[in-house]
Amino acid sequence: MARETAAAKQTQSFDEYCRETFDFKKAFGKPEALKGYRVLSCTQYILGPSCASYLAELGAEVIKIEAPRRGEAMRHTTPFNEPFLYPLSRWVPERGTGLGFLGANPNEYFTSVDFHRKEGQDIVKKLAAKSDVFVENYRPGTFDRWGIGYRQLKEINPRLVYAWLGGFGGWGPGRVRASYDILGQSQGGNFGMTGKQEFLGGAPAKHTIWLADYWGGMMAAVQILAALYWRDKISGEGTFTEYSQVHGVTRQLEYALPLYGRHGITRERWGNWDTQLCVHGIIKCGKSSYPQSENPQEQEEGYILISAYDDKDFARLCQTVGDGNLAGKYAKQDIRIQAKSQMEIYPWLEKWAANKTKEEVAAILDKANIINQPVWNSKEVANNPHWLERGAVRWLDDPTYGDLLHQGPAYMMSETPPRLKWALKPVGADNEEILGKLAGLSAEDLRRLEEQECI
Amino acid sequence: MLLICSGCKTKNFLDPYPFWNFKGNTKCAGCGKIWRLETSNGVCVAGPEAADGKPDLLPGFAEKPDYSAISGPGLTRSAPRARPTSVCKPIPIEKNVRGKTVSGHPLKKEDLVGSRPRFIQEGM
Repeated sequence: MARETAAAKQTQSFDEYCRETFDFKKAFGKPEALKGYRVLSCTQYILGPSCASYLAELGAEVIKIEAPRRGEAMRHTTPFNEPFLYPLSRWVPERGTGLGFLGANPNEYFTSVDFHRKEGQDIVKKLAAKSDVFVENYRPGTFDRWGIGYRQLKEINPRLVYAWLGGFGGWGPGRVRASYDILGQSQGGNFGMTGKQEFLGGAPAKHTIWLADYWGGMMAAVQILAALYWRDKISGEGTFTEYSQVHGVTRQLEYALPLYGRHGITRERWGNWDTQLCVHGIIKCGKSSYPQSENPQEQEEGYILISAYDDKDFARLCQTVGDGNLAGKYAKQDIRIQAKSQMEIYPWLEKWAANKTKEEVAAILDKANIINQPVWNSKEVANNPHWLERGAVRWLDDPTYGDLLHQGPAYMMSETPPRLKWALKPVGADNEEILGKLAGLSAEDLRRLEEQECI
Repeated sequence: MLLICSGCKTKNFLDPYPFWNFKGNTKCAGCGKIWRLETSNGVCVAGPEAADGKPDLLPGFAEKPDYSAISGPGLTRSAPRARPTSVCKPIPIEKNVRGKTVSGHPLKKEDLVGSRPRFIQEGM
């Protein structure tokens, strides 16, 4: 029977094989790669939480510890004061959690402990004694000062992998500042080379999403997996890890730093165009795809990415758009990438697209076999069948909050797939189960500590 | 950073970004009492002590001892907003964009089973 199944798989197309192998709806029938590992997540905002949640997607038992009753700050942040999921906690049902909290906290168990109090610190120590990983992103040294940092927890649990994430690192002259993603990207060098040149009416630009946070969380998760491998396969010992959000941004600057080191050249920003390739950028189309919409974001004109930097592709683009002069004038890539050339080529393309929607431009370019992609908004991504079929975006029947649209893990694994179990829970929803089971608190202890706002 | 007013016990949340390095007055959102304090790198280094005068910066958020929220003009700073459609107040919903149930409106304690909304636990 197994041999017949294997033979049948050999006759499948690759597309069919992958569709069946990676079907996210079958994930719950398969094992979890990190099942059996326990992670404590004393984290806030996105950088630390996302790190722990990546491990939770892979099956680790992640226990989030937040401030009693009102939880961590991200529940009350972004988007401000509008779309909430209720209740915030059983103590504060009239308030809710903001949607910005969702992406970085799935699959976790939610407890609450006041880290400032001795009794709260004792609970953290009891939990750490029975855990594999401890993640926190408070200011450097804060947990050490409270007596629940790596140095103290290592004495209780020498096998603990303690991951600290923060802005500037735990030591060095620039360490004592508050950091947010926007600050990290600004100091790390990313914003300086993003956005339009000043003479084109531009300025350095920030990203709308918190890339440094989500990327940083993933990098720290890689650190943790390496430390667990080291512990479980080689040394038997825990590890103290540190991740600097700012240095993480600098790590992404690709050739900017080697270029400076070699020639002293500061890498420039070039907006929606590219300094190395032309045509390889985003142009504005003159017509909105949703002219009747009441949403300003949809009323605006569409944008589309066009990539035709190869000489033959550029010639075909000129033929499609209908300008033989430019095809001859800019036939070679080394001429096209010059600033003055680009300042003629892109406006020419936008003039051609001025009476078209991005979909109309895409249809014309598709026909000419020129690489293009309309710039999609969140509505277009949310409704795209490719995303929905693959589970990259999915409707989740959340056991606490109901029907939610949620991102799925962006990667797939045939034998131990990541999965999405629930989006989040209210503050302290798992206090009884987790603190009773792992910290040995009785019902009376729980009631007293709850009254004292220690949990 | 929390400023718990000794007079009315209101918890005033002094959000770290504007209060990171601060020297001046703030005002309790519960009773209006003026407090003077100084912070450095997110840590309070002087005060808070009762003061006179006007507030230089209001708390970002505040809540009474019973956890009910206090906010509004003259009491707390409004959250920043840039979107034209932003209304900066909760938009209660019961159904999401595809018409299915979502827990999107304020609840009362009697609406809960443990930490879960009763209408989710037991069905509508």
